[in-house]
Amino acid sequence: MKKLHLFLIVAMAAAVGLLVYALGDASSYVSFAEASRHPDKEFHVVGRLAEGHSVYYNPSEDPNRTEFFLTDHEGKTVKVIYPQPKPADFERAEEVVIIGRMQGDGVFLASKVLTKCPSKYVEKDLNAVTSQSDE
Amino acid sequence: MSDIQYIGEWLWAAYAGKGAVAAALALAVLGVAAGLRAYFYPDDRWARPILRAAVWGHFLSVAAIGAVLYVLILNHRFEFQYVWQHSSRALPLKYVISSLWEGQEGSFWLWTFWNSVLLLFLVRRNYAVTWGAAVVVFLGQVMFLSMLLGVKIGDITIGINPFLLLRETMAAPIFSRPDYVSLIQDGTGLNPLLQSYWMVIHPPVLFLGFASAGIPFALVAAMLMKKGVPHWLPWTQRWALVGGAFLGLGILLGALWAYEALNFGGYWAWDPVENSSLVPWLVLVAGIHMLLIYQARRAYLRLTLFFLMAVYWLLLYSTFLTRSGVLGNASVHSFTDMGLGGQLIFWLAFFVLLGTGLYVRRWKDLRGKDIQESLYSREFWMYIGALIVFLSSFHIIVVTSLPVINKVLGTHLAPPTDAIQHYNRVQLPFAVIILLLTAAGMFLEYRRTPSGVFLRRLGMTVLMGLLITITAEWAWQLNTWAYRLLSFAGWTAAIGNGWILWGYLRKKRFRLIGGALSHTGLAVMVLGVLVSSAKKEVISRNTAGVDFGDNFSVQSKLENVLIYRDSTALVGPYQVRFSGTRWEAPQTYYRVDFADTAGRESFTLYPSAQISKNMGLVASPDIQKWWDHDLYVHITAIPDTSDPAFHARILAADTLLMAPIDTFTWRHYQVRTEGLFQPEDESLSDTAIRTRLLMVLEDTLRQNRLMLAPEWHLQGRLVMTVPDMDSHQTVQAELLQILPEQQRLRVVLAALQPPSRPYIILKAIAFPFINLLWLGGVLMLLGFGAAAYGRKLPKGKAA
Repeated sequence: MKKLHLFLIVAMAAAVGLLVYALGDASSYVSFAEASRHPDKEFHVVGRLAEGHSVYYNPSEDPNRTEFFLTDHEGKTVKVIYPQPKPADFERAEEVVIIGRMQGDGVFLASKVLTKCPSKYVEKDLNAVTSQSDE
Repeated sequence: MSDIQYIGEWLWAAYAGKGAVAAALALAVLGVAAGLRAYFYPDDRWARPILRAAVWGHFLSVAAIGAVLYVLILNHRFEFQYVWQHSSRALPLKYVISSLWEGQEGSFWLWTFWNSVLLLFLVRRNYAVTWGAAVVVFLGQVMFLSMLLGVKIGDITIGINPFLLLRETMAAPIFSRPDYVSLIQDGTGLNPLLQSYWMVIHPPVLFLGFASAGIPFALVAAMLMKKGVPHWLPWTQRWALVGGAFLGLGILLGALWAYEALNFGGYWAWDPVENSSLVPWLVLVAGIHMLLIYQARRAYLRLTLFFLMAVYWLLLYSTFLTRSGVLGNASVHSFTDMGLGGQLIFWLAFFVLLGTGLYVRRWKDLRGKDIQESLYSREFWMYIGALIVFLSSFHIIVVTSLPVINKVLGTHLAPPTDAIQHYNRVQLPFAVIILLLTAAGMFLEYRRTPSGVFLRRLGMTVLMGLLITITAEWAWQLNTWAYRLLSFAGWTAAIGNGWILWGYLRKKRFRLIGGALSHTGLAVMVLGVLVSSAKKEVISRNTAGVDFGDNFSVQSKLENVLIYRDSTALVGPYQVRFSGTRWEAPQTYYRVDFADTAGRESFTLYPSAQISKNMGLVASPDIQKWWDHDLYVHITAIPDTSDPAFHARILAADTLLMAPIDTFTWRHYQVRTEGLFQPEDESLSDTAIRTRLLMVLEDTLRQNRLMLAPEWHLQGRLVMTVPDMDSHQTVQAELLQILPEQQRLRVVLAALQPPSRPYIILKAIAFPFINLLWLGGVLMLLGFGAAAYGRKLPKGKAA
C-alpha cells in the first residue's frame, strides 16, 4: 500500500503542477492600454470596429493583409493589422476578438481574429418568411 | 390569438409527439421503480416482467418521438418550429436525415434513443446487476426526456419541446391570419456547414459512443447499491470496451469530418467541442486498464470504480460545456444557448452526488487486496500508465474549462494565445511515457516476470526502435529533440506491441489480441499525428506581399495566394490555374488545376466556398491523396458578390433597326445577323412561341469574335425577352421587337463595363504521412472490438 500511496501523491502533485502551468500559460482579456504596457506579450482584446473607419482589404495588392480600427471597451481606438484574408462579412461583426501583440508604433499586430456575428448558427428571424408571404 | 381557428395545422402530430415524450418519461419512471424492486426483492415475481415491459415500451415511445419528427420534416410541416428552423424544401433527402439532429432537442433525442436501445441489450442478460443498472440508465432517461419536455412551472421552463408550433415560439403579424400555414412556404434550412454526409454519419456514432460509455457508470452504481465486494466487473469491462470503441470511432470520424469537409486546416484543433469528447474517452481508457489490474490482482478497486464513474460525469460536464453557451468566444462550434444550462448543472450535480454518495457509503467494502507491487509486474506499470492518461485528460479539461473558471471566479482568463502549441507541448511528454509503457508493459506478466527474459525482449525492442527512429529521422527530418523522442516512443511501441501481436496471431489466440492490436494502432496513429503535424507545410507561401519589416513571425504567416479567374499562380511546386466554377446546391465548387512545374503530373481539385448570410464564409477543402502525403487545398476568401464591382454595368446602349440577315457597323464591331431560328431545346416550349436571333460581332479592336443569341418569347399576349451577353461580359444584345410588316427587328446593343475579375484566395497545405493516422486509428478501434469480443463472460443466473 505504501508504494500506491506514494504514486497517488506524486500524481496529485503533478496535477497541481499542471494546473498552475496551464493557468500560467493562459492568456487574458485586456484593454489596448494594458496591451501596450507589455509589448512583449500576446493578449486577447475584445472590441468593436471603430466608427468612421472602414476595413481596408485589397486582395490584388496583398491577399494577406487586412487593416482595420478597433475600439476596445475603454473607448480607445487602435489600428490593427491582420496578415490574413479579411473574414467574410467582417463589417457586420457585432464584436471582434483579436489575439496578438501591440507593436512599438502603436499598431496592434493580430495573429488571430474571431468575430461574433449577430446571428451565428441557429438564430433566425421570421422576416424572410413574412415578407415572402405578404405578397 | 387563441380565438383564431387556424386552418391546416397538423395539430394531431403535436399531440402525438408530446404524447410520445410523456409516455417515454412515464415509462422511464416506471422502469426506475420496477428496476429497484427487481434488484432488491429478487423474489418478486412481477418486478422483472414489468421492468422488461417498461424497457420495450420505453424504446417504442422514444422511437415514436423520432418517427413523428421525421414525418413532420419529410412533409415540410413548417408550422412546426423545429422543422422550420432545421430543414427546407430544397434540402436533398440525405441531409433531411441529419436535420433531425441539428438542433439541441434532436441531438438529445439521439442520445436518449441509443440509451433506450442499449437498455434492450442490458436486460437481455439475466444477471442480477442488470436490474440495478437499468434503474440508473432509466434515471438518465428521465434527465434526457425532461430536456424535451417543455413544461412551464412558474417562471421556469423545463426543457425545450421539439413539437412546438412556430406561433407558440414567436410573435409575428402573420399569425393573426387563420390560413398562415399555407403562407409559410419554406423553412430556413440546415446550416450550410452541416450539409455534409459527415453530418449524417458522425452524430449517430458519437452519441452511440456517449450512450455506451455511460453504461459502466450504471453498472458501477448498481453494484454499489448493494453491500459486499462488486463482482460484475468482467461484464462491466466488456461494456467499457464497447463504449471505448464507439466513442473512439465517433471522435475519429469527427476528426475525419474536420479534415475533409471543414476549413480549420487540419483534423484536430483542440477545440473545446473536440476536447469534451476526448476527455471522457481518455478516462474510460484509464478505467479499462484499472479493470484489467483488478481482475488480475483484486487491487486498486476504489480508483477503478472512480474512473468508471468519472467517465459519465465528464460526459455530462461536456454536454454542459458545449450546450450552455458558457464557452462563448472560446469555441468555433458550440451550440447556441437555449437556457438549458441550469438544468444541465442540476443533473450533473445529481449524478455526481448519486455516484459519490454510493461510493462513500461502500468505501469500506471497496478495499482492494494489499499487494506487493513488483517492478517486474505488468500491473505496476499499467497502474502508472492509467494515472498518466488521467493526468493528461485532467490537463485538457482544465484548459477547456477556462470560461467556466472565469464565470465562477470572476477572472478574465483567455485560452493560451497559441492554444494548439500549448496543448501539444504539454501532451507530448504524456504521449511519450504512455507509448513506452505500452511497449514495456506488454512484455511483463502479472505478478512477477522473470527479469532476464523481460530485459532481453525489451532491450531488443528498444534497440530496433532506436534504429528505425534514426532511419526515419533521415527521411522525416523532425529536427527537434522533443519530436525525435516521440518518434522513438512511437516506433518502440509499434515494434513491441507488433511483436506481441504477431505472436498471438501465429498461435491463433485471437481472443488475446485486443491489447496488442490497439496499442500498435495507437503507436501508428501517434506517428501519423507527429509527422503530419510536425512536417506539415503550407506550400501557398505568398512572397509578393507587403513587407512587414523585420517581424519574421508575421512574414511566415503569409499563407494565402490570390488567383484570378483563368490565370495562374505559383503554389509550391505547382502552376495553379483557377479555371472555372460549378454550382451544386448549396455550394459553389471552384475548379483549380494543378500542374507540376517539372511536368511530371497534373490534377484538378474542387474546393468549395460560399458566403452564407448567417455564417460568413463556408468553405470545404478538396484533397489530393498520395500514399505518403496529402495535398489539402482550401479557399480562405472569395469576393463578395453583393459588391457592385462584381457585376457588369451598362456603359452605353443603342436601339437599332435591322433585317434578320444583315451586316452593319456598331461602335468598333462589324455586326452580322444570321437570321431567326426556333430554339431546338424543348424545355420551355410548352405554349410559348420562341425565336432566337443569331448575331456575330467581329471586334475590330481586339481582333476577336463574339457570338450572341438573344431570344424573344410570346406566351399568350405576354412578350418576354431574354438578352444574351458574351462570356467576358463586354456586349449585351436584347431582341426587343419583331416587326413582321417591315421585315425588321428592333435590337438593343449595349456596351458593358466588364465586372472585376473573379478570384479565389486559397491556402494549400501538404500533410505528409497522414494515412498513418487513419490506419492507426482503425487498428486501435479494431483492438477495442477484439478485446470486447475476447472477454469471457460469467455464466450468470438471476440473483
